[in-house]
Order: sequence, then C-alpha cells, then structure tokens
Amino acid sequence: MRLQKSPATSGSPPPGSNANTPASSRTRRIRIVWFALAVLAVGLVGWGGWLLWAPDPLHEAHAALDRRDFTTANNLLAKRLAEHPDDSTAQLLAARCARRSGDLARAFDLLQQYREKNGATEAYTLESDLLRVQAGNLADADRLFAVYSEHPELPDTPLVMEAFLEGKLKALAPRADAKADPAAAEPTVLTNLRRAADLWLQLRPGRADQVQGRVWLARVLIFANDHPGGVTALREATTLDPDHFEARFHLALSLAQQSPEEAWQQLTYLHTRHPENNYVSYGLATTCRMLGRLKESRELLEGLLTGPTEISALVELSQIDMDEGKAADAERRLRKALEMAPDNPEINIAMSRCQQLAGRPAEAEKYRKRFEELQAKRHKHAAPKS
Amino acid sequence: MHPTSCLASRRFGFVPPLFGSALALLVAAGACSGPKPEGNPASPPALPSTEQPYTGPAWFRDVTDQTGINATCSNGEEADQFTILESLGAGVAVFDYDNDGRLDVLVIGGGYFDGPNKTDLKGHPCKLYRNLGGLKFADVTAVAGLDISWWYTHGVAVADYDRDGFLDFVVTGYGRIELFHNESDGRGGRRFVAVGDKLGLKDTSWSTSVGWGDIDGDGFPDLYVCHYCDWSWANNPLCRGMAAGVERDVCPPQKFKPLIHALFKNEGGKSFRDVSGEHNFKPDGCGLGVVLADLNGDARPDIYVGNDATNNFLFFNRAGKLEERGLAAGVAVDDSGNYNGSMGVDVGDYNGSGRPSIWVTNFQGELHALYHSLGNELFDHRSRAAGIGAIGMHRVGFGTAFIDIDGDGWEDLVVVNGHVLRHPAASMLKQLPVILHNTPGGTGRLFKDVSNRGGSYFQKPAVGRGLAVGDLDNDGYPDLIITHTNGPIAVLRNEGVGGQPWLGAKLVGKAHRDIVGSTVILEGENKTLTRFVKGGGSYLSASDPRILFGLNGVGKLKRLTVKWAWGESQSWDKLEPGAYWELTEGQPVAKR
Repeated sequence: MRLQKSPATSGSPPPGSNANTPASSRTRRIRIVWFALAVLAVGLVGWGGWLLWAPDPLHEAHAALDRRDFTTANNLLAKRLAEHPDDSTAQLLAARCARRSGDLARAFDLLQQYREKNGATEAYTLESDLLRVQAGNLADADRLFAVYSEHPELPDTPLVMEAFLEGKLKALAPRADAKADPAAAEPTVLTNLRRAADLWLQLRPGRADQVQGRVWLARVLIFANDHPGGVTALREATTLDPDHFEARFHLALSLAQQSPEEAWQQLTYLHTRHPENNYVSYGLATTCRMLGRLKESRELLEGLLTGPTEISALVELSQIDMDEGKAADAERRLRKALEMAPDNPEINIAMSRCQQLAGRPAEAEKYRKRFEELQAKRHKHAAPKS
Repeated sequence: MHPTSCLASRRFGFVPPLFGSALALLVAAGACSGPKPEGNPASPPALPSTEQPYTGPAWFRDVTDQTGINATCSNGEEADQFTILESLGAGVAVFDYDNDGRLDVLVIGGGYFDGPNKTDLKGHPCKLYRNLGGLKFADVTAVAGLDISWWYTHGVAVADYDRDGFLDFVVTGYGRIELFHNESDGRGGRRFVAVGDKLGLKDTSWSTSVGWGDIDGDGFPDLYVCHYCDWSWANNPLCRGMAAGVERDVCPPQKFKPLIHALFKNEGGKSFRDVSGEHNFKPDGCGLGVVLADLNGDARPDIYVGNDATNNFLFFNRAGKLEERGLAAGVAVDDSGNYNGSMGVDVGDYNGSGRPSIWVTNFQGELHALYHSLGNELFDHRSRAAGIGAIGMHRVGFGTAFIDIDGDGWEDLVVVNGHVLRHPAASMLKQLPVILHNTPGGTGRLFKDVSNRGGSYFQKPAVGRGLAVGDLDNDGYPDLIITHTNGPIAVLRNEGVGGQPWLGAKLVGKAHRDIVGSTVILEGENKTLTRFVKGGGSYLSASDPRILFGLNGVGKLKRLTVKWAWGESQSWDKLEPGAYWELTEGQPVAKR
C-alpha cells in the first residue's frame, strides 16, 4: 500500500527525494516486522520468566516440605486446591503433608477427597497404610518396613520409614523416658527401629530431615537403653539446628536424671524462646525444685495455674509449700486438685504427705492407702509392649 | 531424593519449539537448579555456665600407698556366674582394738567361687592393720589370730559385747556370721578368737549390714542383723541385661524374696539369743543398711533399716520392745510414695535443730533420701528442698556418712558410688564419689556438690562400696577409708581446711556399758552442736565411735552435755578445744 503523506502535516519530502518509492516501503516493512518480532520476543521472555520464576505452589510446597515447614506447605497446597480443586497431585500432597505434620484427622479427610476424585489407587493405598501406621495402628507397619527397607532406592522409602518411626515410637515409647523391658522386648523391634532411623538419615540429607532423623534415632536409642547414644544424637541435632524445639526438649528430658544442672540450662534456653509453652515452663519448674531453687520454681508454677498444666502445677506448688513447712497452703491446693482428679495417685500421695505434716496421721494413712490402690490399678492396666 | 530440580521439565509437558535462543536460554537457566543452599546453621548458643571452678587445696589426699594398707575386696565375678551375691561388696571398720589411742583398720575380704563348677563359695581373707602412728599401718592379721578360713564375707560391726573394755567385732556374710572376741595374746598384745558358735550367735542366713546397740537397756549391746534375699544356687535365675545387646547380667532383688532379719539379744555378754520373733519381725525387707541411734529423743537407741526394693524400717524402742513405724513416720518410702533400693544409711543433725535426720543412699533413678526430722517421731522427705537432686539420679549410692569435713560445725555428706550391674543402662559400672557441702540456703540448709574440691580420688570413677570415717592421725579432722569391689581400698587424709578449731569426745559408760543411743550437745557462745552416738551406719562398715566437733563459728565453749542412752544426763565445762576428751559416766572431770 502506498503511503501518502499530507504535504501540510507531514512535511513535504525534500526536493529531489524518493520517499514514496518501492524501496523505502520495503525498508519500512522490514522495520515493522523486526519491531513486531522484538515485541514478540519480549513477550516470550516475559512469559517464560513468569513460567519459570512466578511462584509455583506445588514447587514451593515441596520446598517447604523439604524444610519440614508443614505449615507453609499446607497453606500453599490449600491455595492451590482452592484454585485447582481437581489437581490430584496437590490433593495427595496435601493429605501427605497433613499426615506428616501430625494432623491425622485432616489427613484422613484429604485422602478421602483424593480417592473420591479418582486418585491413583496405588498412591492412595500407600498413603492410607502410612496414615494407619502413623496413628499407631501397627498391623501393616512391619510389612511395609520389610518391603521398603530392602529398596532404599524407591522414592517412597523415606516416607515409609518416617511413618514407621512415628507410629512405632507412639505405641512403644510415648513418653520420652520410656525404656524397653529387656526380658520382654523382641530384639527385631529395636533392630528395625534403628534401621529405619539409619535409612532416613542416609536418604534425607537436608538439614531439617537430618535433625528430625537424629531426634528419632535418639528416641530409639533411649528406648533400647542406650542412653549415652541417645544423648549424643540429640546433641548432634541441636548443633545442626539450635532452635529445634523437639531436639532440645528431648535433650533436656534425657539429661534430667544424669545432669539436672544442664537440663536446667537447656530448659532455660527453651523457656526464653518459648515463654508461652507451658510444658517447657513446667519442666523448668520441676527441675528448679530438683535443684533446690524453690523460689524460681514457685514463680514458674504460679504462671501455670490455668490450662492443661493446672493440676500438675497445683500439685508441684503444694510440694513446695510442704518443703517450706506451709501445710495449710498445700492442703488448699491439693483439695482443689483432688476435686479435678480424685483418682490420680500422685495427688493422693501428696495429700498423704500433707496430712502427715499437718499432724493428722489417720488421714495420712487414708490417702496413702488410696494411693496404693490406684498404683496397683495403674500397674495392672499398663499396656503390654509389642 | 525429592526431585526439586529440573523444574522446567516438570512444569511443561514439552518445551515449545521455534522460539529463539532467549527462551532456550531461559529454559536452560531454569532447569535443574538444584535445591536452595541451606546455609550454615547458626553457632550453638552459649548456655549459661553454672560450675564454679575450684582453685583451693584439695580437701582429701589419697595416702593409701604410704600407709602400708594393701587390701582388696573381691567378689568372684571372674567366674562369670552373674549372681546377685557379687553385687553387694564388702566393708571396712576403723576401731582402736588395742586401746593405744590410735584407730586400727579391719578390711573385709569378700569371696569367690571355687570348685569344678564354680559353685563352692569361699572367702578371701579379712585383714587387720594396726595403726603405728604417722599414718603408718602394719598388717597384724596373723598375729591377731585372723588368718583363718573365711567364708564369703560382707560386713562388720564393732562393739565391746562383753564390756571388758576391749572392742570386739562381728563379721557377716553368706551363710555365716561370726563374733570375734578381743582378748590378750599373752605377750602384751591382743588377738581375736571366734566365739559365735560358743555363745549362740549363729546365723546361716545371708547377712549384710549389722549394728550394735543396747535395745533392752541392760547395758550390754544387742545385735541387729540385716538379711538380704533368698538367692541360692537352687534359686539362681538367668537375667538379661538392661542395656542394649547385653545378654546376661546380675539379677535385680525383685527376682527374689526378702528374708526376715534377726535381733540377737546379748545375755550378759555370755550368750546370744535371736529374739526377732518376740518383736514381730516379718520377712518383708531385703536389708542392706542399718543404723542405731536415738531417733525420737527418749534416750533409747532406735533402729533404722535401709532395705533394697522394699520399704525401709524404723523401729522405735519402747522400753525394750520394738515397734515398726516406718510408713507412719514418713521414712519408709520416697516423696513419690514408692520404696527405693536403699543401701547406705546415717543419722545426723544437718540443720542445727538438735534433732536427728535420717540420710539414705539409693539406687539409680532415685534420689538419695534426706528425711528431715520434724520431731514427735515424724520425718519429711526433703531431698529436693535440700539441693540433693543437683547430683542427679544416675548413680548407685553405697557407703555414706554425715561428716564435718571442713570443721565449720555443719555436718556435710560423703557418698561412694558404684553400680551393681556389669552393664547398666544409662549409667556406668564405675562411678564418681560425691561430697555434698552443707551450706546456708534454700529452706534453711542446702547441700552443694563440691566433689571437685575432694582431690584426685574424687575425680576417678570406681565401684565404691564400704565407707568408714575415722580420725586416723588424731588431728581433729575425720579421714575416710573406702572399699571397692575388685579394687584396693583407699585411705584419704582430710587436709583441705586446716587450722580450724575442733574438739573430740570419747564416751565411756560406767563399767563399759554400751553407749549407742546417747546424744552429745556442745553449747558455744554462738552456736549449739548436736551429735548422736550410733551403732552401725554407712554400708557394711563401722566408723570411729568418737565424736568430733568442728568449732568454726561456735564461739567460746560453754558446756558439753551427754544425754546417756539410759536416760541420765551429765555435763562438763571447761573443755579446751584441740584435743580428744574422755568423758566417763559418773566422773565429773574429763580426761584429756
């Protein structure tokens, strides 16, 4: 198309010029094409950049899981599923994330949704099995362990070891100080637990996973009565991640008998960082009392008189009252504790001590007998080891 | 390994073709980026340091080598029978057997397993060392008539059972107990003759710690005998170890039944009769430690027994009839209401109340127990408030004593430790001993772990068992003699805190009547100190019966009063510090 310029506006071509020749038009066309290609290239670069660097929820969720940041992973996956409710990959990952974070009820719901959306059967079956194991239903635990421990190369092997450890430790060693009865314990149980922890550490080199693996290893070793080994693993964990709560808390608990002074140090460190954590405060309070630091213990306990630690704090405070010869104060606290938990052996024996200090031997005897009855019942119903 | 890399290939089903190098460059740049670097973790936080380094002189010096005392207590574990018998160990006694004013030392030998099947129990020799002065001792075992055939032995207790002015002793063990009478050897010296059979002091049970005290008030010391459990070759189960991978170890006492203890009434020094039935003893305590002292202020010796894995006993002496009141008195169990594995015991006024508190060393996982005396036959478990928990609960405590190490008038505590299992879980066979210094603080007094002041002995783990306290060089500072299972004994001279004023007292009843159960009260200008005359005490061992007072801070001495174990009191004034005084019943003037 021949371009025509208005002489008045575009300026007249200089005399003798050939602006309207076929050659100039071609040049102009070429320039236009290059301009268009440049725009396209920029557009492509921008699109490519967006594709590569724009936030990808699934990618970021995986990265968060590698850091064991289950909260972030969960939020990312929730957002992804809100935008893409049929994304089965995200659905399965969300269920897995919930399970690994310990939110088993939510994990179950998400897994059901995955199945309803026709998620892959094999993936569903495995995740279901792991959910049961982690919840403490160990029917399939040994089978899964046997299969996957022989195949460390499989991508799901670490996850199986993780669920195996969580589930077994929940069932066998729910308390940090639980120990296997050497007469009753099956040797293979301990061997398999150790193998699972070792495999996890071998297969998951990321720092967060290494720390968690050492915490599991420590719990296994302590359960197997290798206390020095357990403490070593926990020290390694806290060196790798000084602010790992579980590692340091377990370390403090492990040191409580051997070195209460260091346990106090570790708990003090945790307390300054987690002043809201009642279990840390309570552990620190009882350690202070163990060390004869009654004033410090009392101050901590008085802050724990509401919520889940109320009864324990009442009883421990009553013990301090009795240490200081204040039987009347102790009795007041213990009566309140007994109202809340009349069948707790520890409260009854504390009341027995209180009555004795108050000069009421018959009452002391009554509470002592009640303590003995409750202790006998507790021992009778103690869960057998498996 | 979780595939965090190669995100491009994950994100796109295909790489779009055609587009120029820019896109290709982008794809290449984005692919296989690998995991984000995690960076180095922060340095571990510095935890507040609580240990105070000690730069002063060591409180005790190991002088074993220079003394000439070369004795070992052995248990026969080399036979690998893993019997519970091996776990108890043996004790030591310090007493002046020849009345030369210097404490001599008797080391109990222990035993071993002999015969083709290693089931014949035999005894290692017990050894007597005579104190020559200057911390030198001579082995007089043979000269004193003690080179006899011994049985598997454990404990020793010393008393003048026949009131002839010379101290005799009894040795316990598996299947036999023997009383040795101290008599003239016809050459100016002394020797010992076994008289148990002749006098009816026979015991075929498994005896451990014993303690003398005049229970019936006739002036002659009676003998309380702890019995342990019903182990025998016919009752020798195989027990797995507690630690990981340990197939076999010594069985715990819970595998066996406790044995009934014995009380031998001393009938005028001429015979003995077991009167345990008359006092309604029951077979419900695996006895390991016993101490006799006046525990309720009625001027009669009472009896406290430390039992292993069963409730402890407290027998109040009701004019010769024993009444067991452990639970009611608050001394049978710990502050959680549970029995402990109790071994060593002692009695002392740790807080200046004038009343006797009871101290017990316990098993791993348990606090050593300080039963604070409240008066009126009541005690309260105050270990936590007294700071005892600071030493942890991973040790197994045996020999122990209240002892004023630094002469400040407040009785400190020493505990020797060592496990009973060859391969314990969460602990070690060899363990460090502990010194607990009695300091002001807490709810009155606070015990602080000052083992780092103890000297080289306290920095070396060992399998500690017996502990006897005695002023071997008469310098006014109590020394320590400690036995170890399968190791030589240690003699530790107290020399850390020199120059503090002190006063010693040797109590003598009229016609050498037994004085256990007496209380000695020293009044000073600033402070009053109370000490108790004890029978038994510690673990399998016997300590210097003399009373020592550290006088730092006491001020000018006013009066020393003895409340004799038969109810009478007597006082002496004008006792000068820096010496031992012999205080004899009925004699108004003390003899220096």
